[in-house]
Amino acid sequence: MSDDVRRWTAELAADPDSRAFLPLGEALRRRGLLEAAWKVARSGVARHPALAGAYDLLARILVDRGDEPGAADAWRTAVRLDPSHAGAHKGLGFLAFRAGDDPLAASHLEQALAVQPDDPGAARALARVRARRAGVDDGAAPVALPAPEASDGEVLVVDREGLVLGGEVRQPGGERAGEAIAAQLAGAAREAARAARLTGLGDWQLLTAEGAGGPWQAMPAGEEALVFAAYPDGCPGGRATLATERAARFARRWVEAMR
Amino acid sequence: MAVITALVDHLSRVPGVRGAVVAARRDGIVVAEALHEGLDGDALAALATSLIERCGRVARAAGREPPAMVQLRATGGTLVAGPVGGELVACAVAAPDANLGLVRLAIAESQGALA
Repeated sequence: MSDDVRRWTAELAADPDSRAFLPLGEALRRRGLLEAAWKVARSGVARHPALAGAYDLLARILVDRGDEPGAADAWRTAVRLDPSHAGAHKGLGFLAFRAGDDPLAASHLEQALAVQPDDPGAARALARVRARRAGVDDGAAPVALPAPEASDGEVLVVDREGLVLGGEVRQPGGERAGEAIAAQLAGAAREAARAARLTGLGDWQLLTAEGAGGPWQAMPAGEEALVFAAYPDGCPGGRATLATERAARFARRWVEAMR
Repeated sequence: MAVITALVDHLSRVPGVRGAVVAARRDGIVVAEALHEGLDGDALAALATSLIERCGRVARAAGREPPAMVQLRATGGTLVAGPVGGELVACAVAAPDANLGLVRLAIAESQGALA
């Protein structure tokens, strides 16, 4: 348990009405301890039913649990309580974007930026929404693996906020999985960065997961983007790594060229 | 428990491995550890279980099974982790020159032994 978590837990134990549940719940969420985070957030909402931030925390946990409708409800409550709550507008903007409701996404992201104009994630998301509305971005810009020997893999480029920048990956049944992967990959990348840093390994370079269905890899592509590459069963790990490294170099140039 | 103790012992003896832990998958509590230098076993256990969980979510989003092995390469070495026995996670932190094949083999063998 980190010092911060200990401190906030002690603060909350000493004063159950304290707002320490907000940073405590967020810290637990970021550690992936969703059940513990959920209990802290629920307790906080019960004690502070008029606090927009409590619902914002609840919504973020619900997104991590895969309950986007529940998260939307919580963020709408937060906005009702505090119409200028940037976090809630940003969350609703992301959910609307994922649902393909660009006008609603743009409206919420504009409201988030009106409160926090320096939020780079909201600014990028709004630019992406506007591009899609203008018809210059179909959500699946082609990003081909540059290595012929890796043509059996699929590549996705996502930003650090969990939005697709280009490419597509499909589930075994053929369904597009890019948006769902991007949403989860942002959290996995944060966890990878934290694990590498806190174990003294420095900056993370490559995350490889192997299981039934084939390996997949994630790699930073510059400061703002990540590459996700999925390979079929039987693809040798070394070959996958070479292909992902090439894809990341390619994606980095591609992202820079888009700016 | 003997298999778990043997696993952390085995992992920690691989040249270049700085430490190994086995933790409960549910809460990241350390079950067994063998740490050579400056590594915090509690932190390593929590980070490894969380990383496995996060990777599981990515895999589900991609329509794939949860990973049997996760490898995190960083500038100063590599973290290798994998679920063992359904309720545990094994993890080793290795220097850049470590033999990762032996680390992976040890985890895979324990997965087989505890299946």
